[in-house]
Amino acid sequence: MNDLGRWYGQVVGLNDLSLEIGEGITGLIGPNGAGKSTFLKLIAGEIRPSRGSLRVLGEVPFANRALFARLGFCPQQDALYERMTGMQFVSFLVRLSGYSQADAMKLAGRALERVDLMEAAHRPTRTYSKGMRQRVKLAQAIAHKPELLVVDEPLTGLDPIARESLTSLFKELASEGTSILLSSHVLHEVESMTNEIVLLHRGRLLAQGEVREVRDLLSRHPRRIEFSARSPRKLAGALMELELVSSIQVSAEDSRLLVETSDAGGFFRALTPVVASGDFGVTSMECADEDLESVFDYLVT
Amino acid sequence: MQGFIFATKTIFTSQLYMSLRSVRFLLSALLALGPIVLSALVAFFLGDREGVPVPQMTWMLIAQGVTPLLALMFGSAVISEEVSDRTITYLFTRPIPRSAVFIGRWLANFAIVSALLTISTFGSMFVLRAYLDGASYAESAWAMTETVILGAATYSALFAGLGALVKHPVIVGLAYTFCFEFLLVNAPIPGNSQHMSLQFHLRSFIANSGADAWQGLDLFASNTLIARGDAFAVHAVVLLISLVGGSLLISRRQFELTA
Repeated sequence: MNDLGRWYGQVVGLNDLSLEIGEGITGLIGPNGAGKSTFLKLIAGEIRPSRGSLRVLGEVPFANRALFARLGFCPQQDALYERMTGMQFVSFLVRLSGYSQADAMKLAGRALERVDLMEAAHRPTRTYSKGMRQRVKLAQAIAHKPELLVVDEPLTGLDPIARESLTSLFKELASEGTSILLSSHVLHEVESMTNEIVLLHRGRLLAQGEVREVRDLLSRHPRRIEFSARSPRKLAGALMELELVSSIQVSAEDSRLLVETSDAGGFFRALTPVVASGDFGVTSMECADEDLESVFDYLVT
Repeated sequence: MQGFIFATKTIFTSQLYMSLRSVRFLLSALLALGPIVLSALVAFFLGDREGVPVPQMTWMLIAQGVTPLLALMFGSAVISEEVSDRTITYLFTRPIPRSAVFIGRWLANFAIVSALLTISTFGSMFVLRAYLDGASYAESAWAMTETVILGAATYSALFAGLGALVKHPVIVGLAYTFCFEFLLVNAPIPGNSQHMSLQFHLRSFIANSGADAWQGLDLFASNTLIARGDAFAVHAVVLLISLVGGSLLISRRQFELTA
């Protein structure tokens, strides 16, 4: 894609996006409102760019039937044909890819098996749990064996077991030669599947490359870490000894301590022996700004 | 073309399956039964009184009431239902012409409306057969049925096309049918203004059908009715424009669905 832009009236969805995405699994990362869904809708040919050009598997995607035969799209929206069973839903959509009724049923059955939904295949989709709905959506996207699978927030709302199972499925599909582009706002979710990521923020490309490179960027982000301890002042004294600490705020009333560091990785490495050496009574520790939003805000300023 | 026919057929079948299990279908079935129940009440209270304008009454009820209402319920849903359910993404990312989605869904909904109207018409006419002033029941009912089916085809295509164009086709459709058309066709407005309504052409179509019961249907018409063939042609043109226009609109339109 080259100089790609897409806006909704006055609102910018994507701007100045130029990049190339190769084979394998690519993770599209960004906080809510970063433009991930807009990006995927453009790739899936659901909408047209307002500016620039875009090619997917060598084709201009909008309403391109030749491309749709080679592409599988699993949208973010929790929408299904509620009066159909899982099997009817998947086989109907596979039929629209040009298969006979018998072949469509066969392919739908295989896809439902892969997403571990065969037992519920003959139940109406309106009776499905969130995880099952997510899986049946994925089944319709993979059933016709696409070359490129585009998946929008596939792991959102799933329990850990379902996440693990879908993560394994994506890896399996990739090893079979399917290129996968999936979005998430949680970095470690994507990290468990691929090294290749594209970072979007406020409709712009922030970074593209291996997770390690992005991790380096993130570790340079000043972090705030909040401690609860029985002896916050004593702990503050010990932490002040560390060079990586930029500032410390102590709240004696509720035994809390807010530490700011310029190197989170280095700080955590140095923290363990400090905490272990004295009786500070640390009861909890959490990153006050761990969410991607704050990290992205840092990276763009 | 083969791909279009295959996709249209597949979508038609699935839409028929889903529509027949919908709340909309139940409501519309009740609506279609309305004229039969009303006719039974009229027959019960009238007893054997003569001189009741049964054809006009049936016409108002079925052709001017139930037909556009059913056509609106099912026609406007052709695209707007997929958009509001956010399922249109699945269809628009398949290797099929978008027009097949429009035509397939419209055909399924039109088939349901036609079946309901046939039952409604034959049922009502059967109940009121004693009041047809000697006109043949079967001939009258058949003439009415083919007229309302023609009307259902045109209205539903019009509303389906409207659904591809605007976000709330039901509101626009209601305003068109029950304000604009109803006033135009029933009020004694001079000139040829009635020609702008679909109802006027339906009235012309049935009045010239040869069935005795419908000869006096120009009761409210302040314009002279036109020939049956001409009336049919007007409906055919509106139907064609609506279907082609709707198909073209849907092929170019981008639908913004939220998560």
